Amino acid sequence: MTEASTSTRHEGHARHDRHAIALMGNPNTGKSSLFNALTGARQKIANFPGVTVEAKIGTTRFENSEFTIIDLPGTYSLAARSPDERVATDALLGRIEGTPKPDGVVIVLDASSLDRNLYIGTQVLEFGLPAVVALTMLDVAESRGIKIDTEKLSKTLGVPVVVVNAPKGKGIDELKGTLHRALHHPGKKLELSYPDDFKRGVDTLHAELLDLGVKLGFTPTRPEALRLLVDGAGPFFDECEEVGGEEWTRKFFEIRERAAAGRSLSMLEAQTRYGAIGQWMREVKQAEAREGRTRTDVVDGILTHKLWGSLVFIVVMGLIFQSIYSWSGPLMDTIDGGFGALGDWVGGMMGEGALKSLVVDGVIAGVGGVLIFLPQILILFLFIAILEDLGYMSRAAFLMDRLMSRFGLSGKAFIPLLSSFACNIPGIMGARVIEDRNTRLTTIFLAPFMSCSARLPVYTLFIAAFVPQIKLLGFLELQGLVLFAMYWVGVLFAIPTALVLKKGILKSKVTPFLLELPSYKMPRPKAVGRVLWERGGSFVRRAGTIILAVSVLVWAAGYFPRGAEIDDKHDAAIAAAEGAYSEAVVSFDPEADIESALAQFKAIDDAHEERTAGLEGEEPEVEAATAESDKQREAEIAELAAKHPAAFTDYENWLKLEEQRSEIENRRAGEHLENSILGRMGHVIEPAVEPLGWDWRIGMAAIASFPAREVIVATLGTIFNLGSEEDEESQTLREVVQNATRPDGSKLFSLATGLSIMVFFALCAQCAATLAVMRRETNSWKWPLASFAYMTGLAYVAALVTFQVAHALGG
Amino acid sequence: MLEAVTIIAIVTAAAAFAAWRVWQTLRVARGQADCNACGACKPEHK
Ligand SMILES: Nc1nc2c(ncn2[C@@H]2O[C@H](COP(=O)(O)OP(=O)(O)OP(=O)(O)O)[C@@H](O)[C@H]2O)c(=O)[nH]1
Ligand SMILES: [Mg+2]
Repeated sequence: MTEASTSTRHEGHARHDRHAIALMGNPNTGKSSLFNALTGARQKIANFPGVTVEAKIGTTRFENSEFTIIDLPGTYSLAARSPDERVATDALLGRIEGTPKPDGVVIVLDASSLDRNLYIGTQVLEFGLPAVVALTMLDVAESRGIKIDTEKLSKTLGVPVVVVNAPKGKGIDELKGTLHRALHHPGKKLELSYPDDFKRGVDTLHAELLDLGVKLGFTPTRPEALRLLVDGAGPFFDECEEVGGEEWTRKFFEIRERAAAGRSLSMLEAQTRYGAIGQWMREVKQAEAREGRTRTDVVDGILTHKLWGSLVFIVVMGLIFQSIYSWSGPLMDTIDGGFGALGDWVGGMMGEGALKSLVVDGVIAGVGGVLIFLPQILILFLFIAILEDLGYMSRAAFLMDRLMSRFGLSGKAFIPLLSSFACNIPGIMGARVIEDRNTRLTTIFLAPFMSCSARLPVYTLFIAAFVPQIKLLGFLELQGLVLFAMYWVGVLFAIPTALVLKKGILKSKVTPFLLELPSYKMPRPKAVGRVLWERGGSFVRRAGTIILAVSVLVWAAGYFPRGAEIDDKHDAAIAAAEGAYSEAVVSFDPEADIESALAQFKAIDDAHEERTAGLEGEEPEVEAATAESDKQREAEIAELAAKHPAAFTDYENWLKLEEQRSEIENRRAGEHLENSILGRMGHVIEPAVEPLGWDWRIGMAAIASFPAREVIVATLGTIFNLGSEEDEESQTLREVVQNATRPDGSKLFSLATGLSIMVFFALCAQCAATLAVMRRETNSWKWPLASFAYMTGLAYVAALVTFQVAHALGG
Repeated sequence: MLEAVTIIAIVTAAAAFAAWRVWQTLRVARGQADCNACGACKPEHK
């Protein structure tokens, strides 16, 4: 693009007065914060580098102009190496589909490390687009005793400088106004004094490129020529090679050699830039000499220390899992109770039949079963949000770098893997910050091994049901500890996987890892609240959409077809039992008022039930109270029985009838389920899941969960509700699981079964969205397919071994 | 009768929704849509 065409473009735009503005700068300098403040969008912001990996567009207005703002991934240089850096460079040149070519740039500079930030600053300024510098983190700089003379900085760079603090909403309007002026009165282009050979090289190459221009379809600028000369590779190079042919390539390398004159071109570029920056800084920046180490240094010394840092890491993680357990309990019980009551209420209002079953067994049991896990999800994300904001992630990454390099991964892979604990998808996308293709693919492949938040419901359900509630050493909850251990299962399998991949098909050398440690920041309550709101919202949304849909489908498959002969058989059985009962009643003394005596017996039972209704759990007090009430009931019954012996026999017969009736109803429901489509499919797969300690119902629930893991909680609720007839109060999902039986009456689940299910869910690739994103990020179906096959196979074998071992040990 | 119709309608809607999600997931795979599974990549506007 020549100067002339730039100005025509501007005039063209000026008429509609719309401008595209790119936000460029180093990672973690506050670009997305600024973007959000300008546009009102809600891009993810966190205190570590590499948060934004895609170009995002938003709009804002100033007077009569509309600005299209482009948020970009942070980059240290326009010489892009990783995919996310390439996005930033390409966006500046207007080479991203769907993203407008910028008419101006906001160069975002972190005042607390201005020198390094100015490196890309100079590169962007050379392009000569209308530009404004947004100086962020001045508060951080000042707290470190750094003073910046913004006026001098503006004069030196030849562009306006505006101090902003987006999280506090400061300087936003001023920035817009300054931007508006800069677009209409662009400043001068930055000229740095490169060595003569270098400068000549750029000019010669620029001339060559202009010759190619027609074939290229656009007019390359001088800064583009400079980039091409220094980088000697990349998409622009490929393009030139394609249209220019061998002849061009030969000439290009000749020019390069002459320009370098025996030195390294990138070295020359860096020397020139840093030379200039150093000179400017002497005038612009004043740093108080500080004695000794700052507080941050001391804290970093501990957090990145091999021993202490690791200890802190483990303690922090352990604490999170303990809290997930101890804080969520009461909230979960409330939600659970609410859904139970809802089910009872709705069930009471509807007539018996398929529609009632659909609503109660399908929708309420399914969706409600998932929603009870909302508190845990929120607590997990509360901690994640705080850690992200605090600046701890980068310290942990630094700490892990040493360890990870042993497995052939760099610490750069750590942050994507750590964010995978929230959700695997941003983890996979976060791998874009990794330059090396093979390391990036390895990271993408490993991300689904990290236990995402969707696994949490599965873990907590089975832990609550089968791991005893005891404290170790007086403060460590065994349940929380098992949960913590479940998170390590994925990690333990990821390590050998990484080793095999890196030694085998994805060989690459470990590149040194340059990570800046961001300054510590107080977590902003508003931002943390927003994360919770969004994550909680999306969890609820999923429960109300995909999980609802799957629950309904699983219900339909488990309800139909209704075999009439099954109903006939059980109706007959009930009629027979009732017949036997009424015959027995008639044989009693007609003088005695049996009916009212019977009613008295029943009243005793009701009173007992009422007394124990609120009592739940395994605490000693609860058990004592239950036993107390039971004793009372027995005494009352004995007293009454002495008074009305005939009625007592009758009462006993009645109890027997009730028991028979519920047994028959249960058998009826079970047989209907076995006879259903779901049941028939289940019996086909049963042999495959039997060695894992599962029956066909668990197997089908697991299969239905391949679209999304948390579906299992819903499908288990639906299947077991369909398969048994509950006349009394509904049970919580935990109780359903604890009480489920096999057809022979033995308990279906045990600790061993629970562990095998958890291990299976820890390792299995059960998330369609993850596989889809994997396809998108690797641009090939090969990786998602490999991941699916490998993880599912691994999950099966590991669950098998878990069950067999735990079972043998008596679990 | 009304009950049967209601049930058929609900189940059909669930099946249609599931099918739409499969289609949507394929679009994600082709890079034509965000997955919106976790709420981490927010759409540009509120
Ligand atoms: N103290 C202070 N913190 C800021 C300021 N601007 C942004 N932050 C914080 O800096 C951190 C990084 O902000 P982001 O907006 O995510 O940075 P980014 O430049 O988009 O980062 P990448 O997407 O990784 O390139 C967050 O914790 C922000 O809250 C500022 O002016 N002062
Ligand atoms: Mg960002």
